[in-house]
Parts: sequence; structure tokens; C-alpha cells
Amino acid sequence: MSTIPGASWPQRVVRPSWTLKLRFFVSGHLLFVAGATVFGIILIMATLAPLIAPYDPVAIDFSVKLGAPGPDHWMGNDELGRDVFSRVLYGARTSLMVGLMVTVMAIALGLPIGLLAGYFGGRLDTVLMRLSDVFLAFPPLLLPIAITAAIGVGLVNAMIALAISWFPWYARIMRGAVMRVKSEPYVMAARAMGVGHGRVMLRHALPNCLTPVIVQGSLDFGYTILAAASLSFIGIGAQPPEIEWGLMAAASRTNFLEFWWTVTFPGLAIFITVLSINLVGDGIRDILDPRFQEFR
Amino acid sequence: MSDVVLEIRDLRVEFPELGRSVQAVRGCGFGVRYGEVLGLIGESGCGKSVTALACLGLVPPPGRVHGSIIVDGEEVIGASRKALADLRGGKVAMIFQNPGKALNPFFTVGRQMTDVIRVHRPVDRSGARDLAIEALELVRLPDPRVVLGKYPHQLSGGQLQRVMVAMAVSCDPLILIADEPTTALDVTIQGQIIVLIRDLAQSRGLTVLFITHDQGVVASLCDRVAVMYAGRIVEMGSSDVLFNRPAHPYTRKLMLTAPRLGRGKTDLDVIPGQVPDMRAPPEGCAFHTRCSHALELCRKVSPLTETLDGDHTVSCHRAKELV
Repeated sequence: MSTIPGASWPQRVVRPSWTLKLRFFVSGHLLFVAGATVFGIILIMATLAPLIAPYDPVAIDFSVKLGAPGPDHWMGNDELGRDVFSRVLYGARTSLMVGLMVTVMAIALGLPIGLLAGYFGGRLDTVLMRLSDVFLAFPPLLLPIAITAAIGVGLVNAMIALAISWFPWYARIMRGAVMRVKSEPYVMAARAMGVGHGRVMLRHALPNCLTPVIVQGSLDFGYTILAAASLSFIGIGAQPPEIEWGLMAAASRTNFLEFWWTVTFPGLAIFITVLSINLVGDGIRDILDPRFQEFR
Repeated sequence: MSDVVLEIRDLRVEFPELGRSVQAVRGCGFGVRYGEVLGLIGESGCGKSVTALACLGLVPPPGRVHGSIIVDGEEVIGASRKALADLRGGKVAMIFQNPGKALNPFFTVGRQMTDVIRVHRPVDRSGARDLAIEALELVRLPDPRVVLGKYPHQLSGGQLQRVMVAMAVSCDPLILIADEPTTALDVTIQGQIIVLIRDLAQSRGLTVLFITHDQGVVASLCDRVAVMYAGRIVEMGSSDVLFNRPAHPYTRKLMLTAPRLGRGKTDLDVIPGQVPDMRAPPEGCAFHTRCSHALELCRKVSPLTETLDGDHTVSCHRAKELV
């Protein structure tokens, strides 16, 4: 009935389909999607390692000692004839677990310290932050080396050492965020309504400060894998017969000019894993904190 | 006077800084009676908000508070943590200037309201929810159940300020301190919030301390008005008297700075100069630097508070001759 041109427009509201939304998301966050895809594949391979791995990763077979990559052994064999591909797969489990555990431990240690220091300020802030600063004063790898030297060599100890040398970053980030949130009117409003310090910290300060911690955590996940591999490489992290990328590279480093595959594939695995995690971390930062995008 | 619910005597608040400290409040004193609406007016930075925060024991560190604040017969300054926890929200509730920022963006309105209610009342989650709905009905928000499920960003400024008022009255306080609650709202919403607060004061016998710079709000809402300048009360009286026969030169100037309908365009006045630097407040009467009636006496001696008639009090050497 309508002859007025624009009169029927409300009927033509187009709801974007989820495929369209997905395409829009992918085009906006190309690197994030690439990183997430690669990381997803690594995660699946690590989880399903026992099913995928063609050989037992610790089975010694001197008949193929230092064998070159070929159809039977895609990534060749190491100096004890173990299948490098199977070992890289199992190594992913160790590395991902280490990265996760170190990040979680560092956050678990740094978050409450930063929360208390930022919220109460004053003398408590000074004491807590100066104590944290002590751990930042050491060169990045020297402190974990010193700690493992003190509490003993091994993967678990290396993880603890890394967490101890990493937590001050989270304490600092959290402290800064809490100091910002503390001056928000809703904190004062909550206090005025009789809400106590503990509740204000947990219900108001903590949730509103998590974004920068999540971003930093996702980026650090990659760096801690790298750091753990470094510790294993210099012999104070994972110990044989544990399967760890840094340890694999270390064990073969004397042969690697002749038998390049023994070092290259674990190294490549570290490289791809850390890169994909960093891309994911950058992407998370862009998604959670859109202000960063203006500066690209 | 037993009918005084909030009594402030010689309140002094200072914030230490390197060198000189900022004296935000310098001997402020007044009483608020049960069930009355008292307006506290003055320029920005004259210590209104700090006085209000002091009533809740919430002066932010490193602020130091001296003097006496008695709420319902109990001293606030130096009170125990437990007493302060009962005071805040329970006896004295406060609402703030910017309702959009006074609620945590992370949680729903309902969650935050029930949280506050459960701090003060021995009810479970569903009991607190019922009380929250009751409070939202009291402030005449339509669809309280829907509002409870909303996040702060989904509500308008006026709705949020109603939520804040509801939250404030949900625990049945004696006193509501409203720190410029209408400043961030547009004029029609301002009117609604003022009517709401007036109705609450009348129907529930709520005592209100209303802080504002808006004389129009004061005229339409307050029984009595206290005028604050540089950390002191310079004049106090019923709003009728203060609007029609202000005695202090500052009050007179202040009344002239507000545009009024029916007056010409020309006589909108400004007070020359600025609020004095509170690190080094002027000697004598703090207003003498900007006062056109200032004498030599005003520069040297701080005026005492005199009673003019009834409960109209003023701190000015020349009040009697200038009236």
C-alpha cells in the first residue's frame, strides 16, 4: 500500500549471519587468527602425542643412530637412534606445561602483592615493591640460574625459579592498575556504603584490573617457554630422560654441524610455538584494549 | 540540642604536602536537625566535599582530621573500624556527583545492591533481592526486576542516580549526604531527582545534607542553607532568609552570580579573584582579598560567628552595618 519510497525500510533490517561476523573478525585480526590456528595445532599435537607419535620417544635404536630424515623417520634420529619427530611431539607437552605453570605461579605470586601494594599504598607499598624490585635487579637468566643452583637442578625447580624471577612484573602491572582503579568513584561509593577493604579489593579492584594481567600473561607464556628451554639447554632445567626441546638441542649441539636435524627440529619447534603464542598475546591485547590499535 | 542528628564542631582537615600543608577545612561547624534538608553551598575547592567525606570517616590518606563530628550521639573522628562500618551506609549514606562512575562496570546493578544490603542486614541473597526491589520501587524506577539485571552502562544517568539513591536508602540510614548529585545530569532529570529526594525526606523523615553550587536547587529543596568559604561556614540560616536577606558579602555575591529568570541580562555578577590558595590561607577573614567592604580589621582579625536573628548566623565584622 505504501507509495512513499522510504516507508517500508524497517522491514529490511539485515541481521549479519555468524559467517559474516566471523569473516569480519578474521579480517580485523589476521595475525591473531594465524597465531591461534598454529597454537591450536600445536596444542592438539601435544595432547594427542601418544597417538600421533610413530615411535616410542625414549626407545634407543643404534641401528639408526644419527640417521638422516627420511620416509621412516621424518625428522631423522638422534645420537642414540631415538626418533626426533616423536621426541618433538612429546617435548611440546613439557614445554606447554612449563609455560603454563610458570605463568600461573608468577601471577599467583605477583597479583596479591600488587593488589595489596597498590590498594593500601604508603609503607606497605614501599616494602612490597622494593622487595619485588630486588628480583628485577638481576639479569634475566642469572637469577633463575642462581635459584636452581640453590634449590637443586631439575625441571620443577627451574619452573619455581622462573616464577620467582617473573612475578615482580605482575606485581608492578597489578599495582599500577589498582592505583588507577582505586581513584574511580565507584570505589569511594562502595566505601561510603560500608563495604570493607577486603570486599572492595576483591569485588571492585581485582576484576577491573585483570585486563593488563591477562595480556601480559598471554605474552609471557611464550617467553617462559623460551626461558625454560634456555635453562634446560645449559643443563639446569629438564634432565634426561625427560623430553624437552632445550635439552634435545643441548644433547646434540656437538654433532649439529654434521647432523643438523638433531638441533634444527627442536629449535624450530620452540621458534614456531613462541611465535604463535606471541601473535595470540598481541591479538588478545588488541581485542581487550582497542586503544592500542590507533598506534599501529 | 537533642534534635540535632549530625553535629560538626571545629572540624579541621589538612593534607600534608612537602613544605606547607593544604588546609582544606579550617574550623567548620554546623548542626543538622532530624528530618531537615540542609544545603551546603560554596565555590569549588572550599571544602564542601571533604567535610562530607569526614562525616563518614573517609577522608583519603594522607589527610588528617581534627575536631568533632557527632552522628546520632556518637563520635565519628577516631571511631573504631567496627563503628565506622556500621556508620557507613547504615547510619549515613552518601551519593555522588557522577552516577555513571559510581557503580562498578563489572557487575549488574542487582549484584551491587544486594552486596551492599547484605553488609548491613542479616538477610540471604533472595531476601536482599526483595529489599533491593522495594528500594527501587521507592525511588519510582519502573520495572525494578529488569533494572536489577542490567549493567551500569545499560542505564541512563538519571536511572543510575535513582539506583544510587535506592542503594543509599535501602539500609534505612538516618542521614543522606548528597554530594552534587545533580551536577552531571541534564535539567529535566535534575528536577526529578530533587523532587525524589524531597519526597524521601518528607515521607521517611530522612535527614539530608545536600551539597551543591546550584542556588536554584537550594531554593527549591532546602530548609536551611550553610554557606562555606575557604574551609569555614561564613553564613547559615533558613533558605528564605539567605536568599532574601543575605548578610555576608560573600553570600550576597554568590546569590548574584546565578542567572535568574525575570532579571535583566546585565546584572549577572562575578566575584573577582579566585578562591585563596589553601596552602597559605589569608589572615583574618579569608574573604577580605575579594571583598569590596573589607576594612583594615578584616585583614588582621578573623571574625567570630554572630547570631543575627533566630538561627541566622554569620561570620563577618560588618554584617550588622551592611544588612
